[in-house]
Amino acid sequence: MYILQAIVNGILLGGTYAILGLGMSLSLGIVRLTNLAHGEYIVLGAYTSMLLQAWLGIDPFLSLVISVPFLFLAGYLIQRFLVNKAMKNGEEPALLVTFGISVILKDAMLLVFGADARHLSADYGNVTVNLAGLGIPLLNILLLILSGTSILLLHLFLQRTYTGRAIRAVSDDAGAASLSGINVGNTFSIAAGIAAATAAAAGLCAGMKWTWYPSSGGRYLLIAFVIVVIGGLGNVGGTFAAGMVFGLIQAVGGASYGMLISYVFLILILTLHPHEAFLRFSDKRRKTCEEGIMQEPSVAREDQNASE
Amino acid sequence: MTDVFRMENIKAGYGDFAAVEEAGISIPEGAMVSLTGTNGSGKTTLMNVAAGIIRPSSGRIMLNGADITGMEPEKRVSAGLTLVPQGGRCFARMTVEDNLITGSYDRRARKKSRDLLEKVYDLFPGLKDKRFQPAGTLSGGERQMTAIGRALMSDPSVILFDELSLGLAPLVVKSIYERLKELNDKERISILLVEQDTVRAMRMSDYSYIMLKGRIVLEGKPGELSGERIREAYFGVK
Repeated sequence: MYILQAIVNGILLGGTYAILGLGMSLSLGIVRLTNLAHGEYIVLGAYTSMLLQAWLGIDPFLSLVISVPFLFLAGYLIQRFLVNKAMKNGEEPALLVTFGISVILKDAMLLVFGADARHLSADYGNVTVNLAGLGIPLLNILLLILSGTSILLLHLFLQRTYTGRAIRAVSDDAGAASLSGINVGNTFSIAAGIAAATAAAAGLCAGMKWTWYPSSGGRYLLIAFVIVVIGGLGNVGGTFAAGMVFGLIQAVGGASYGMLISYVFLILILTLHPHEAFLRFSDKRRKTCEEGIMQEPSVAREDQNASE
Repeated sequence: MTDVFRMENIKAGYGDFAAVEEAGISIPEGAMVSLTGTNGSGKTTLMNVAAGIIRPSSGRIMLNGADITGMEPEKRVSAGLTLVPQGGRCFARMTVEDNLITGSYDRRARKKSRDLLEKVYDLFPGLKDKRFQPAGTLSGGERQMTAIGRALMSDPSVILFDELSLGLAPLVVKSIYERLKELNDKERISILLVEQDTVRAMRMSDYSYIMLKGRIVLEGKPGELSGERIREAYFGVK
């Protein structure tokens, strides 16, 4: 019975982990940039929901209607006016810019909200549903539904819309994308905005589950990183599965060993499986794709060769 | 015939190295023009300048009578100029159909995208059968067709092909060339073929340029250029 309860808890917890990693996966997979401020975006999302609840009495889940567009805009503008400019000079300057944004956001939130521990709560926070002898908190079910829905919507967006296809095209070959009429900088900004928007939902999930401080971003970033390594870059389905794996390890390992096991797991993956994510859908197909790229005639400029 | 696309006195390169010293080409409306030359003669650089990937240090680029010298690559696509780069460069992880649809990202093309997609499938029926396959799993010829299809999806008035035949089997090249001729005749799309293989490209075209060491050294109607002069231009010797 204990193990069954643990598995159910793990799956429910996994939804929250998945959404913590989702934005990171997008920004690493598409913009090819480790956004060190992503943890702060998540904290900012939690504070936004908290304020909306405190000022306007809006239910935390409903507050997403405002916090999602707000974080999208923040992520979009930061990418467009700061990160994109830094990226022209290479990866490291851009990485430093995101580090700077992370510090600024953290200190700004400390200044505005103080160092107190916060928690998002709702009336239904303590309701437990009895299912086949297992006591399941209603809140955890709602959070899993939120996480699953967000991931599904994002998947459909990437697959079915022009903008989604443009995002995938840019992640595949930015140069060829611009030859197909796609504005690469703008597409980066939109992708970064979407990554930040997922942080609004992640902030809600994390804020309802755990207490947080202005400095909690680092912890969320670390979790996000583990999820991305397990699930694969820019792989929306893989992110969801990785969240589940991570949640199960946590639940089965218990509070004291869960985190430890996860990080050992992470190090093992990075050492033994460095080039590929641990979980990956349609692995075989993807491999053939990569071989396809390898076979492609060299795109190196003939004239550059001539100059050598 | 008016020129739909023209490059005048282009000078461009990488750093201090000028890969294109002084070159100009023009494509009359509805024409098929070829630009040939040996490896390292500056053809690809000239194409990258045409597409807006490299800014020329001097010279002027005109498309449909408008100066596009300083225009961003994606805006050139929307103005009707598309480059099929060397090797095609399909989006390997995306399906063939997603590759094609991505070609009509531009607002103007989006409205026509359904008709354009049908046209591409009529032109390359083989692609329709593989439309849900990731482009990376296709053969070299099919990838090149996907790249051509993607270019057509932007509803262009001019398409530039950089080394279309590179690494492809002769029969595949022949069949792709036939399709291009069809496009040129029926759709009146102006085409520039950039190739290393002079003979085949010239046979296809209405007008030819030969490039050597960053300069256009010979131009004219294919029938009027003697083999001797071509050899001279190609190898730089008399």
